[in-house]
Amino acid sequence: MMNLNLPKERVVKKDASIIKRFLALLIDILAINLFIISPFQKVFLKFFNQDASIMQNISLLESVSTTTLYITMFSVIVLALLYFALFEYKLSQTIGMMIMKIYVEGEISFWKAVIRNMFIIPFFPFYILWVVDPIHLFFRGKRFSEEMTKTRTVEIIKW
Amino acid sequence: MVKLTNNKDIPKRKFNILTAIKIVFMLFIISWLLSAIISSFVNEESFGNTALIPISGLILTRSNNLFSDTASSSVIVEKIKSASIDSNIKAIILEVNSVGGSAVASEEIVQALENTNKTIVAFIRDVGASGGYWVASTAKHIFASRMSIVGSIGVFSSYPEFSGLLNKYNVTYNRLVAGEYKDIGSPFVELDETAEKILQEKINSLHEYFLDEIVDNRNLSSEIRKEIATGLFYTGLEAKDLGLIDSFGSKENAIDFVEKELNITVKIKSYEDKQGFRELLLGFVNQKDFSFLSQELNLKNSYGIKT
Repeated sequence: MMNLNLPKERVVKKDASIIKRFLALLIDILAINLFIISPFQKVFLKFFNQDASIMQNISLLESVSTTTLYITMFSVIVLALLYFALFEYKLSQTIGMMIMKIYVEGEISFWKAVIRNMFIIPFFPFYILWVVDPIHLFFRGKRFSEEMTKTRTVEIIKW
Repeated sequence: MVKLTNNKDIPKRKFNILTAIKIVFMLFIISWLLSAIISSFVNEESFGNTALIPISGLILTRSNNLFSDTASSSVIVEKIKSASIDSNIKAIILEVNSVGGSAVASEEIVQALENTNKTIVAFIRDVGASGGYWVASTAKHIFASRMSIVGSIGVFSSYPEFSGLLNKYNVTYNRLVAGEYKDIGSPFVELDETAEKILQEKINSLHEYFLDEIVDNRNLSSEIRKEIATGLFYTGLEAKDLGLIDSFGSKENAIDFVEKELNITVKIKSYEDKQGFRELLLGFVNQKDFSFLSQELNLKNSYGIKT
């Protein structure tokens, strides 16, 4: 067999690209929709009227104001947060990250994983992260929550 | 940050599929269990089965008055539609406390109520007059207090005229009109006999329509029609004798009526407006105490056709 004197494989580890991170998030949202939200469909159908317009459903929802609605919302939010936290804590990767071949680097505990993903809580002050995180990511290469937890999301490129 | 590294520096990463499946399965099971528990608590009762819709204040097409109690027909129609499409709602209770207002706004509410297939019951509080009464008349049963003000089935379109004032101060109104009656009813032009007759005819025809609607809704005799055509308002006591209301009573009586009529235990789903800054502000000056007066003043000081 002939030996070829090929150059050694080179490896680059860098901050994951914004596109890859965004696509990973989209995949994770799909997974959450499939595994967490879909079982609640039966409950949501009781809150919404399929024959009504979106605006009518919003006004229906406003007039409901039952504790059941809040309990349902709370459950979905906690479970979605658990999805991100457990995957990142146990595997350093969510399903979306696995598909996009990116992962979390740094010493990560369960609570760090929770803090990293608090952006999914749609209440004050957490929704401020919807603005702060992307801005921080754009200018500093990592989300603000990553800065706080001293972690980062990276990708490995080999050639 | 890009970091060139050797292969051996990169930790061997192996996606543990079994752990991933375990996490997904656990979350799915928890979701499924929670949804089953929540579903068992969500029933018709938890949503309310009777809509309580207040018709309070001057009825306008849009609520645009900061310092008086107004009811926007757009908002009320939306509430009626919401209640109509809500399969949990079996009946609508109207809480009427209005002197009427815009004829068009009142008719919009009436049409929305006529299009719903829910049982409608109304109770009149301080006042259910003119357009406010028209709205109440769509109900299957009307309750009012003996001291409520009911009726006032008339139409008016009065307005102040400044032509004399302009003459007094030697101010000229340059009338540039294409179409003889284009500026009919302008406060700067003296109303002549022909114009007055035209306007009166239009108001009369609207009054006839208004009366027909009330007579149809309440199934009133021609004698009563003639009596109420004067546009006079009545006390609750008089209104009952005339057949304008069915019983004396308030919200509790309206609820009892719905329970007996539909054989349900009423759970109210309130469609009251959420309290905003304006309501909070007005709360400090106890505006409600003067609401009847301010409604009347607003009604008389605004232009257009009023019921």
